[in-house]
Amino acid sequence: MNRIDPDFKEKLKPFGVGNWAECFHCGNCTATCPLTDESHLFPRKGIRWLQMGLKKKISRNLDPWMCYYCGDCSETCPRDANPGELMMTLRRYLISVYDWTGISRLFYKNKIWELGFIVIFALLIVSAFFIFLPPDPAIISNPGAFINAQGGVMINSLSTGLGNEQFLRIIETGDLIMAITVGLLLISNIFNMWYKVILSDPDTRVPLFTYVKEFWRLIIHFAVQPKLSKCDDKKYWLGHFLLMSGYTIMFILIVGLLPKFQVENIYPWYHWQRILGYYATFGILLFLVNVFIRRIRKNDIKLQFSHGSDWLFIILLFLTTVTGILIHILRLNGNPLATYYIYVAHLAILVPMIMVEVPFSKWSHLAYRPFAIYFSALKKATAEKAMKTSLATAI
Amino acid sequence: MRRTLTTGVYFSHTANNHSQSLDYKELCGYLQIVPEITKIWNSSENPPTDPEHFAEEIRKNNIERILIAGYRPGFIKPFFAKALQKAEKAAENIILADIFNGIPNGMPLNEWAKAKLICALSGIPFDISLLSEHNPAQSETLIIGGGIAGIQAALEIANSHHKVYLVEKTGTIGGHMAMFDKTFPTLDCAACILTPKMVEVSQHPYIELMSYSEVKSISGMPGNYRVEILKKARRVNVKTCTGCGTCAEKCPTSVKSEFDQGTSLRKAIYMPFPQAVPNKYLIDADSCRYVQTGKCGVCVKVCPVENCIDLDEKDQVVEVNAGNVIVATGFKPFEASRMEQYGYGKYPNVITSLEMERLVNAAGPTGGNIVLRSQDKKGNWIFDADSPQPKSLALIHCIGSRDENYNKYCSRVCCMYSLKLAHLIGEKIPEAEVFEYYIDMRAYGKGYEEFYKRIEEEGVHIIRGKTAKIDEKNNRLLLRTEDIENDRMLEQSVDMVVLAVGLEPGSDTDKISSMLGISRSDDGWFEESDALSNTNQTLSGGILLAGTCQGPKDIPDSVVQASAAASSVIQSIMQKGVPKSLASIPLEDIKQKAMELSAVNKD
Amino acid sequence: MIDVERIAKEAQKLPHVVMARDYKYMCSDPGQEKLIGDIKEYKLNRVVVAACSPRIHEPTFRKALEQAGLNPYMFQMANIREQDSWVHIDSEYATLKALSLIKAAVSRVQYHKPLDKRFVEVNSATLVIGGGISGISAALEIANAGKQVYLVEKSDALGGITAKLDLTFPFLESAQQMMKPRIQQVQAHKLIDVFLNTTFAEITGYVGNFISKIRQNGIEKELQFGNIIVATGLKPFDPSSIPEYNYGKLPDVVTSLEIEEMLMHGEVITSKKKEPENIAIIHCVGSRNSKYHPYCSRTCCSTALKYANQLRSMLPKSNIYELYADMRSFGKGCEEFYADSSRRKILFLMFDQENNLPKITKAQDNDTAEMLITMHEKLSGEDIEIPADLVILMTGMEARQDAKEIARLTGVSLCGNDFYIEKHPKLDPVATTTDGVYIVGSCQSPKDIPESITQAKAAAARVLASIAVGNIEVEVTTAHIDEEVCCGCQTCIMVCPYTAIHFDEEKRVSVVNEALCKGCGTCGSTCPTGAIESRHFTDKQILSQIEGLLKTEKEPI
Repeated sequence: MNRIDPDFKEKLKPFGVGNWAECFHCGNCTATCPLTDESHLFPRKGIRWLQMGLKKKISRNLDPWMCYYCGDCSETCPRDANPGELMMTLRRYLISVYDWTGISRLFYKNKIWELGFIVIFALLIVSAFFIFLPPDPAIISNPGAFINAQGGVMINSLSTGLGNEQFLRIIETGDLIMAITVGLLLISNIFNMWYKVILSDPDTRVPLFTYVKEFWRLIIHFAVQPKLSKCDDKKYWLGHFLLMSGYTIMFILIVGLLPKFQVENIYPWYHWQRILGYYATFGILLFLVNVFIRRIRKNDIKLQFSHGSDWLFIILLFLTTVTGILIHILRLNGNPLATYYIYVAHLAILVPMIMVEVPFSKWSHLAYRPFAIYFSALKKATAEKAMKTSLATAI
Repeated sequence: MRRTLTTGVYFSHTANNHSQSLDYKELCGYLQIVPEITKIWNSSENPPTDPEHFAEEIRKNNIERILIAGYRPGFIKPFFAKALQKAEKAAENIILADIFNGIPNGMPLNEWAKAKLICALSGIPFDISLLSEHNPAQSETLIIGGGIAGIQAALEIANSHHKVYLVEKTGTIGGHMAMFDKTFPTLDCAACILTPKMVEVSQHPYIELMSYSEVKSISGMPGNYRVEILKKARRVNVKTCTGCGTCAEKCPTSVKSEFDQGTSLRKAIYMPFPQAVPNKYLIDADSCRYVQTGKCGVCVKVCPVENCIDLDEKDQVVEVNAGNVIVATGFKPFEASRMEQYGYGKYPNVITSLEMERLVNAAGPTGGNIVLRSQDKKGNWIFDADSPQPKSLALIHCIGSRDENYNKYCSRVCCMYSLKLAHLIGEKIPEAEVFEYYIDMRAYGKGYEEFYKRIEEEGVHIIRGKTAKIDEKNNRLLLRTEDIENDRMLEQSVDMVVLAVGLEPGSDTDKISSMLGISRSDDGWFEESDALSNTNQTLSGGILLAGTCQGPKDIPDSVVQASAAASSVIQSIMQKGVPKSLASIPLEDIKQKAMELSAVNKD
Repeated sequence: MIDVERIAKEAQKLPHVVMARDYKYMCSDPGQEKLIGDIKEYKLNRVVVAACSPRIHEPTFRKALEQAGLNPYMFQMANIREQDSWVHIDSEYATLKALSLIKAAVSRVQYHKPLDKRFVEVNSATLVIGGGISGISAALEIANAGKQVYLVEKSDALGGITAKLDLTFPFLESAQQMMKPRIQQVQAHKLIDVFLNTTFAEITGYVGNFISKIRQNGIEKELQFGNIIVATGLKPFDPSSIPEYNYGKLPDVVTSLEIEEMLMHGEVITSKKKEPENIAIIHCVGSRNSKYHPYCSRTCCSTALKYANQLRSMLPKSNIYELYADMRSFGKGCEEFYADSSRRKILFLMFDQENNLPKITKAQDNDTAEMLITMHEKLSGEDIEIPADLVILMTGMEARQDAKEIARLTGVSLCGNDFYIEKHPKLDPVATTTDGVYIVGSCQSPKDIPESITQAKAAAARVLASIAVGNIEVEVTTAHIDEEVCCGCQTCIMVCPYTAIHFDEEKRVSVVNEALCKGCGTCGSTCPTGAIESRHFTDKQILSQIEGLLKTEKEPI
């Protein structure tokens, strides 16, 4: 027997706004959403559980991850109850639920923590550079020494006392450490999610076979969000895909293939790495510009209630991209000193962004979404199986 | 001699459209003249939070009663009841003064507020009929609108042997009720019960029916209004026309019939419907070929009666005197095409409830045969009695009602008429599957709940959940709805969808309200002088409201309200005269009167 | 369904029939003009119309006959709608039946005699029964038009239920401020005589001239008046009959009227003298449930919203739950009221009012709440448990026990739920089948304050009209006693439901007071000597009608 808890919705305030108290349950939102089906009735159900304060139901619920926030439900809601924003709020809440460290809750509840974390991290990186990898004084006296045959800056030779291999190796190790920490955090959170959603749920016992059978979903939904493409506004999917693919490419280039990517000499413009680089940058920029305009204009209902964390994320991503581009331009122009400083700045923004966003905040959805789809598929499969067997026994 | 209780006054600063222009300080200053007031709270803290604090001050100032003034003060009354109770004072001694309610345009807000405060303090209801001398009333009455409300009011007054002018802007009386097929919950046919009344109106010695006419202007004062009525050129002589219909047969131009909601065609010379009252033809100038081009006049040639049709007839203005005016201008249905998600106007078989009323009606475009729209040779979508019947239909409630994006209010009748239509459809097409999608089923009237149960037992699928959108899929309509009570998504495809459109203020509400000085609610309905105790008096003396022009109503409620309006009229003629318009009474007089009366009450 | 053209042709052949015509809208303006035209043209002296029920259109056609200069009673209607086309599926048989109905009418109408209209003077005084808001409004409306009113109230005070209310929905105006001055007005009014603690010994007479004996603390008075307005109001449903709610057993389960009082006195506390933290308001108590009352009580939803808002103001920190079935906040401003309430931390939970009522039980001692409500919540599909320290039952309205008695006295009839039946549910909601008797307010069906007031005025309109005109046309199809044949057994006097017959001691015969007689025919059928003839329903007329019926072939031709 669930006991209702009217105070619960107060607990969700820090995760976003939404006057869902006004919902009178006509079911318009659920019905207008192209992504709802027999097994996923949202957002109305979520609103109901929230109004009634059924905490377990909510923290176990995967539906918020099925929503890609096209905003149709909020636009047509007869009570202006803004169900779309509620889904967003629930996603933020769930991120904090899955995160066993409790850091993300801290970040959501209090912007200072998030900002502080980022600033400190940035300072650490900057100071680390100036202590261990300071700029070579010769850059000023003799910049020419840092220019390669193509007239570009030799990016790995800008620091004193170190050969370019060493420099590269240090950066690479840093990269790897970051990747591993983030990876571990994310994976542990996903395990936590798995525990909360599947293991702790008495009525779903998923056989191993099903895990394997449904695994493909994980891959697809990670690679190309087929669900998102069901939303009525197709541009939305494209934008998201550009961003997401661009971002992944960059991530692979930097973390996986840094030695190939960050090299002394400049490749010709048609070299595959440069092409990929340009593509990624373009994708991310396009998305950002678009979002900036819409969030500022607020003409799109789903962008009227930006949470602080959203802004932070966008700004960080923007700065990262801009500095990245700058590095590229300065290298081509053969401007070693500026290249060095911007390079430091670039990392000082990039690293904290990834450390905050990927495991603890908005960006974690890159993992949670596909996993949510995967898990709900598992649940569904098991439920159907159970149904079959019970029928069989009945007969 | 009853002693006046020492009083504390609390000004609530709840915001509303007027509150900015109110000078609270000035009011507090004014209230100093009232001896029994020992304390005034004028804090912008709203709502007040700490009863203990107030209890303390109540004790300190030995306050025996509290006057709460502001916008809808009742919403904080319980707080003060608690405060008084905590201070061991009688909690019943609280008076409310809504100083914003019903203020006429251009009235100085502070003066108005003062009058209201004084009335409240003296325990006198702020009621014009009580506070002002009455003007003697002329015995004639003007009724604007010939729907069921207008008809009922007219008959009530005429049956007291007093003259009534019934002004109707269309060619016939009957209004929307005449378009309905059957009426809920008793299912007797609307025409069967309405037409006798229409006939009675046309035959009544005390009623002068002015159809196809509009009120042009109103001057004078309550009890003695001068009314200019524009008699639009009918171009057919009502006295000599026999209603034989030869003219219409021969008339070359056809346009959509207003009465049939455009589901059928009528000629440029036409009779709105067979039982129209007056049962005579008229010419619609906008579509008449002669009026538009100067060439035609077929009707004149074929008309068997000597110079019965006069194509060059001009509008004329007549003047009448009236002591009272009853406004019964009714409503207009919500424009369904505004909700694009339902594709009204885009999908031929998405129709409005009023169109369905005509479709099921034996005298309707298809002789009562419910059919799907089909295309004629020209490619226009029409209702052809021989085209196939829908085998499955859906009715969607609350179209344009209970919706922040359109109309916030509930239209009161849609639930019931949808159930009724569901039944009628079942009668005509027994094998048809009928679905109803609703939010809350509002079957509140006498016999309504029983009717709802009956329809459920008849096998109509009544589903809680508002359909969100309609798409066309291989020539059927696909509805997407959440079946809330059964916890599932419904994707139901049907042949025909009926949109239960809500009610909206009539098209000429603007004109009428400015002409008669009636204020309107935010939704545009005419505002009554007192929503609680007087739903048909307006702030303008001798101007009364009847029927849906004051807010959505079903037939019995409209009829009752019409009779009530008639009662005020008969009363004013028999004895009391007509109250002055509130705007015309000096607020000083009101205050004066209130104090006198309160003095009387104290003895 | 019925082949009208054919029966028109057939009818043409009947004896005494001069002409038969088939027309679609006989009741409409042109229809009547045709009828009048035919009467004049063919010099008709009797008319039969085969159409719908005479209940609706007999008056219409009689009027037409009059206009054609014929006595309105030289007319007979054959009901081929309700009695035929609506109730048959085989059109051949239906057509035959229509034909025989018409034959019956034709053979009856030939024995019709002209009857002349009669008018009675109207006494300008009015009796209003019930001193609630409806009665008070009706009384004021009539008295303010300068006419005498007798206001009879059973209890010892005016005001009824409304006087017990604190605020009203949806604007939370003060019921007291509205009521008190009205009561004062009534008491001060020169033309209103108020009788408190008063009951009726009897009401006799007829429209325009009623006489009544009233009993006020033992003393009998006689009143004379022309019209009666019945405003006896309602009785709140008693929830102790609903086991699930444990009303009467659990101290903190209260009814709507009980919470009204608490709110008015500024103290809402539990039996443990604590302010309730969790308050549940349960809708549809005794309404919309076949076990109790099948009908909806119309006002409870908005009233419940009112309480929620009052409690929010008085107990800002409390949790308020509304347990509802369908939110029926339909009135002007009420839907907005509902929307605003949802913004005020009020949680709405839906239950099944027919099959699955919430259950209220005492909570464990260690529980934070006093009581627990368990229910199946329909909007989430969950079975839930609600903590509650105070539960408010929105008790519906029902007819008063003495409704039957008043009905008997005034000749008003009751519907299945013991509410009074109006003359016509849509077009005549305040009149009754007894002339001069009107029903207003919640005695006709549940209503809120504005609706009751409006209805009171509507009834007043009729009364004032009849007074203004000064006389009323009365029934002419009355019973008549042939003194020669009457044996003076007085059986008729015993059976007459309208006490319209008295005994003439000198002549030793019964005499009918034709003003009272409604022509029901009871006396005629019981009279052993056949001395009583009910006009327009003479044996001859009825027998010939039956003959007509039997004359038809029973099989399709």
